[in-house]
Amino acid sequence: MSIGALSRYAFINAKLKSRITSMLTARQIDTLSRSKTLTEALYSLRGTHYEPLIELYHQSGDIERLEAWLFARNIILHQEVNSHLKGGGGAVVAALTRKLEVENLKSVIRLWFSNRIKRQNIDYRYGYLYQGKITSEIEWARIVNSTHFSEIVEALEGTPYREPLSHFSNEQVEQEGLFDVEITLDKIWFNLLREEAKSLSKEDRSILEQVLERDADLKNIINLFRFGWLYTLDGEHLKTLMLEGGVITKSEEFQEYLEQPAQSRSPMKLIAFRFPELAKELAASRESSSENLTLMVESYLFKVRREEYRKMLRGNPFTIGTILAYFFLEERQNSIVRTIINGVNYGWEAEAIEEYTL
Amino acid sequence: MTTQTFKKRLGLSLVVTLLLLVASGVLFAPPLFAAESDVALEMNSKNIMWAVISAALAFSVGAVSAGFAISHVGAAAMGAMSEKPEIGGQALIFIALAEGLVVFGFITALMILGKV
Repeated sequence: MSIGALSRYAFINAKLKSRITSMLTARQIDTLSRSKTLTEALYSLRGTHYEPLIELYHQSGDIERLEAWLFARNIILHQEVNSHLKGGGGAVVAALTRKLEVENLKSVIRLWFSNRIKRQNIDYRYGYLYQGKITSEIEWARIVNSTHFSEIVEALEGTPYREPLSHFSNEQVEQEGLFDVEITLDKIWFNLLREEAKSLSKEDRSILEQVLERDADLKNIINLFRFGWLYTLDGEHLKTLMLEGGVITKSEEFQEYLEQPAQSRSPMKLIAFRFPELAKELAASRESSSENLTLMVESYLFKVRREEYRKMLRGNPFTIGTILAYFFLEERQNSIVRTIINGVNYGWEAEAIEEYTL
Repeated sequence: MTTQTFKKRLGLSLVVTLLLLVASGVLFAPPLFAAESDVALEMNSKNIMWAVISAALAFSVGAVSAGFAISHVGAAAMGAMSEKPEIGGQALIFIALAEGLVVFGFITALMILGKV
């Protein structure tokens, strides 16, 4: 452990570890998911970081407002952590915050698409979007009000998204939809994060690169499973969806998978190559619904990630690992709260909600 | 080991210790007793100089190390307390442990100066 790491992480990591200990417990989550009404669910969050949701719901009675608050909270947490870090650590957190910016940008472009291409009314939806600065200066209103896709590209001047999106034409977007645009945006933030990893100290870099290599494999396996097997995309198209890094895309099994005719592909060999335990689980399962199989894969991969982050929290406390684990747990917690309040609002049974909260 | 051998070895070690003490007295005592001579005076002032330097070092290194440790432990304590004020008491213990370094340095310095 170097002295530099000690000064860099002593304050922030102690703060984040304290926050982790005050996250929602399994019992609180259980109480939340067993609530009969949304009001009851929200009141069970009293005394937690989610208490402002009670007041917000009383004021608006609007569940989408609650989701918007959860998203904004996540951004604020990222920006707060960033304000305590200098140098490489700060740049990496900024790159992680970019993921939220990309999510917001995707939502804004989807709104534009609904409005301009599908001719739907978007007035009520625009109010729920985050309209402040996340990492880059982006005029969100200008994007929504663009008449043409090229105007969106112009509105993104000075951001890393402009150049890659300039390869899409309005006609292409109109005909093929936003799928490829969204994949491109995901790849941009992931590659930027990989670049920022180079500015870290040796130990931090090794931790982050390990996380990115694993995440690339996890994301790629989900994409190969979902788009390659369930939606049978052609090999070339499938290749463009893959994130850089990991071992899957470099394997012979991957090449074989792409070369197979879309209708007769099976992702099992690929899954067995990288995640043998998951392959066994899938083989033993009698599940035939594609949605449930995808849930099984996602659930397993989530467990892999969770275990890795737990290891990080048990390891050296003066590394970027604590920050990465905190963001992971915080994001997971937000997602659980979002899923439960939606489930309770729609009157789902607690068991059904738990399936989606993993 | 039998009781007899143990007693023999104990006796032997006592004799050796006694001899060493006498030898050191013979070797180091003359300059102290011969304070009147110039050579003895010079040696004495050198000894005092080194003793004072050692005392200063013991205290200053202890103080700097404590400052360094407290700056980091304190930062971590502040970070944790900003989220959970109730752990203030526990955090104080860790700060006190770091503070102990300067106390050890101070005691060592006092002990050295007491010999001068």
